[in-house]
Amino acid sequence: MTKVIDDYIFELEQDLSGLPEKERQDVLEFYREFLLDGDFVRRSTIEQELGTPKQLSIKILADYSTNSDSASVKATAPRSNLKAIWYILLGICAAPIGIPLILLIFAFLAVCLAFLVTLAAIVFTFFLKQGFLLVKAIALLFTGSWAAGSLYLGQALIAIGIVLLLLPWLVKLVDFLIAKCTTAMRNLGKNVLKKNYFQTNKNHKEN
Amino acid sequence: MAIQIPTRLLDGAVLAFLKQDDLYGYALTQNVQKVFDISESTIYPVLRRLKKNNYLTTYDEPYQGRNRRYYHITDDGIELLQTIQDEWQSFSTNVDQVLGGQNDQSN
Repeated sequence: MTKVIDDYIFELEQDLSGLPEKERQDVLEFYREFLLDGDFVRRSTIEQELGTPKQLSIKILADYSTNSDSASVKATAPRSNLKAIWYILLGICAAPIGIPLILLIFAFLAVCLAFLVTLAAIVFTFFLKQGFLLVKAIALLFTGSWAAGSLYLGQALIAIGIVLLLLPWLVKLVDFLIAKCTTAMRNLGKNVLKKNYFQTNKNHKEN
Repeated sequence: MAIQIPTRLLDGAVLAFLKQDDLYGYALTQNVQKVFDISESTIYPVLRRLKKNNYLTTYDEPYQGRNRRYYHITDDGIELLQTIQDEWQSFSTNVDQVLGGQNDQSN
């Protein structure tokens, strides 16, 4: 009898691998207990109440990502911010909202991504160009126009030096942008999920 | 029902039930569902948030060879419940003045 429940919880556990261990155990324990107390014996009734493990896990992850402390947002690494954005996105997609809103969100994320890629490309080409200049200048040093060579050498070194000095700020700027995006997604997620998620339109009510 | 239930009221309902008695997840869900038309997966996030903010605590009690996790309201929780009750009082009074069932003012 509990085999059905064990299976369901096991599948849910697989889908929740993104959660911290303690949080995952908590939520699994809650739903295991819930199913046992409710005397659920059939997979179909479980899924009628809670949805498939996949659906339930998306809800849990979205809730976890929208409601983790906004105070700790700054402290968390950009990587985990990106993860949070992803979970919220999944949650929003699962919620019954209009396609336009989803398109809007994707457009917004695409713009952010494009911005980051452009920034990376600019920095990359800059280093490529200065490196190239450096090699040429060093070659010039050993020819008759060594004076021009040293001028170019100095120029390239100065340019590289300045950018290297600016780089930490650039990284900070990107981190900051990602954190802001995450906060924006969190707020959006909160609104969308609150509106569409936590209520059912079921008219029947069983005790 | 077309009116959506604000999280604030959901918090209030959960705290109100827990003020009467410590409850485990399933029983609490059943109680809240008698009042609000919410899905089964609604309660866990509410409990998680309330617990994180120290409005309630949990303890385990053995039941038929397994554990049941009971939720217990804290003093902070009782205080929050009082706040929500006050908020709801003034809110519902105001709404009643406009939408009240008596139709006093409409005729």
